[in-house]
Amino acid sequence: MNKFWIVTNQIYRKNLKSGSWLSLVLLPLILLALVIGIVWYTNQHNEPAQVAVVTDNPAIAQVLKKANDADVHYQYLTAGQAEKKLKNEKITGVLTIKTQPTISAKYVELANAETNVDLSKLRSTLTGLKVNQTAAQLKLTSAQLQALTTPAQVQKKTISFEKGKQVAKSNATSVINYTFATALTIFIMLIVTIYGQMLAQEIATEKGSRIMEILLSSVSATTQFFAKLTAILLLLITQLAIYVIAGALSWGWLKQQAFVKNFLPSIDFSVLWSATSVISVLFFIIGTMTFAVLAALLGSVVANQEQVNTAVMPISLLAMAGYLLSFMAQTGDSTLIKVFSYIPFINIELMPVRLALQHTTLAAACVSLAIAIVFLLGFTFLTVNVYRTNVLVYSEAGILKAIRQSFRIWQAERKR
Amino acid sequence: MLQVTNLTKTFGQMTAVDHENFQIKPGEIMGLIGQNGAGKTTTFRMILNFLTPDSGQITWKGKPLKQADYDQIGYLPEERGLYPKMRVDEQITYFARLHGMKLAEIRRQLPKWMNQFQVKGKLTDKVKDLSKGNQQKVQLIATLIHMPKLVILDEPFSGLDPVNASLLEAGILKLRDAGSAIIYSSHDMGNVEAISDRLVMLRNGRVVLSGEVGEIRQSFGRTKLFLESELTPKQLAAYPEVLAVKQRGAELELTLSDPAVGQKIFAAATQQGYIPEFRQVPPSLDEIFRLKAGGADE
Repeated sequence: MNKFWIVTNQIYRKNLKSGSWLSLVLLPLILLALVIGIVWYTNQHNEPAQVAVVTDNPAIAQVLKKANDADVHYQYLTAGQAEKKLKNEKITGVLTIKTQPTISAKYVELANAETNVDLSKLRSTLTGLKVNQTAAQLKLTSAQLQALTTPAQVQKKTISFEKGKQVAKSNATSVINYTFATALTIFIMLIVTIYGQMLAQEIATEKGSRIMEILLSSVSATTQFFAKLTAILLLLITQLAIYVIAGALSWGWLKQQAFVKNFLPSIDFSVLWSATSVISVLFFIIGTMTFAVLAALLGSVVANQEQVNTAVMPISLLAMAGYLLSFMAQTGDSTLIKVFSYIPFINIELMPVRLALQHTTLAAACVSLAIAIVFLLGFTFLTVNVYRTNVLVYSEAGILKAIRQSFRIWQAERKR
Repeated sequence: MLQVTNLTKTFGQMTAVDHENFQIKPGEIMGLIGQNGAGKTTTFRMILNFLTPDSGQITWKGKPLKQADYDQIGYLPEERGLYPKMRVDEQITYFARLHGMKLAEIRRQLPKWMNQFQVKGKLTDKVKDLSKGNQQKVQLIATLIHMPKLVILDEPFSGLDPVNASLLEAGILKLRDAGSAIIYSSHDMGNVEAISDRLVMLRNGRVVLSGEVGEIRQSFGRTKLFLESELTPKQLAAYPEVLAVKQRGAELELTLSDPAVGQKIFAAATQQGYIPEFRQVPPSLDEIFRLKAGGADE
């Protein structure tokens, strides 16, 4: 194994076993499992409400019985039977329906009922009956009835203008794109902050404890730098892989569950493969790497572990700025937001949201992505050079002084 | 052999190392001494390629050091550190593997070294659970276990108690006997005198003294005289060659400008017959250090 992999392997394994990384990975899983568990339990124990129907017209009771579903069960009883059952808490409530002069009803429910009956649903069922009754009284044909009850049609179309031409956009796609981009922005912010902190801490610990010098005597600073970056990115990939595996393992069970089954048809997963989503993922990859390089740079400046928190401030600030701007972008597309969506560090959170909101074009997003990639390359090149001198400079006086001192050494090295 | 020729390094206006020259042969121990800021650590950092010299050359076996040569170097930085949460064996294994040692070889050697340095603690203990002295030993093992051909120790004795210092001395001598070239810096002249074959003294980046320890002392002449006799400090101060007289109990310490005056003083002191002490010696390394490393700029 060459030295690059020895260093990568050591940092990867050390963090893999650390309590902080394990809780970072497991906590969201446990929370999610808990939420799913609660929803599942409630669904499992959700018995339909038993409602007694008391009416002078058995035909109505039959019609209601046909409306039985998972939420409510109707049974035709006499007033006496119903009252007895209600007293013994065998039923949830009693629905008394009068047919004369028109259909009207009274619903009496137990205060301690386990399942409540949705009144609006009850009302719409009875309204259907009432409409039929009224139609019969007015002697309307079924065609006339249908003409009366068909609601007015409203068509919605989402458009935007690209190069002066009107282009139709799918509304459903935009909602899901937007949700995806917003979720990604939050995810990017969390990931870069947490993993940035981890990488900066890693470097600061080695530097602060002077292990760095021992390492430097056998491994070049450049090899070390990339090995650390690789180890942290591998940890991130491991975390994502654990989530994918956990998701895949539970999917077989989840898709059988009623609460997922009812929800699934409303999502069109194909939009995840839309250009917006692909660009967003690319922004995520480039962004995470850019922030990791920044974290390594900041970690290499500190003299001891106490300075780490101050040193990593720029990471949180930049991540937070991008996050807030992407929230501002929802309300409008100001010049400020347009400009910032091309600026490195900020653009990785802002641009995907603007694209999802259809405030900008795919071409513009590609330009911003290109800027991000060029910046990442240049920034990495610069950081590798500065890192080599940074790790030798210890200034208890503070980070700014350390940077000045490091810069002096760097200049002294450059004139060679 | 490590050869340093005309090595110069500046940081802005400050010259850290100024035309430095020395060499260390295999099986030789060299002490690099000088005050803080004299250029010792900068010299080490240039040998280790952390810093690039402005001019001059560093060669190892006649060639500039290459990346592969660094596997043969064992380096102990001035301020030491280990990963506190790592196990002792993992810690040493990591550093040893970075120096190209094979895993099986590390496993075979590690218990021997733990034994030699009398580390109190198990290989599976976490570093932070060891006492400070034992942590220092672990660090030394990590520096030396791959039997480096060139050993660079920056202030290795600082912070060691006398027992650990002698264990370190034994470790250094073991490597010397195995043919390693060893260079170390120190403030403690006692250690330097005890184990160094040669020394180089730096002052403001310049070599002010260089050579074998005995030769260096002799080159200053026998200008120190320790005397116990009937002669009073006043009588002794009357000799023009006596620069200073210090009294410590019955013993007088004289600093001479010319060693030859010793004979006159001996004759005067023994006029009455027996005296318990007359010792004329070259200045100690400590005094040479103060004289050469701490004096005002010429």
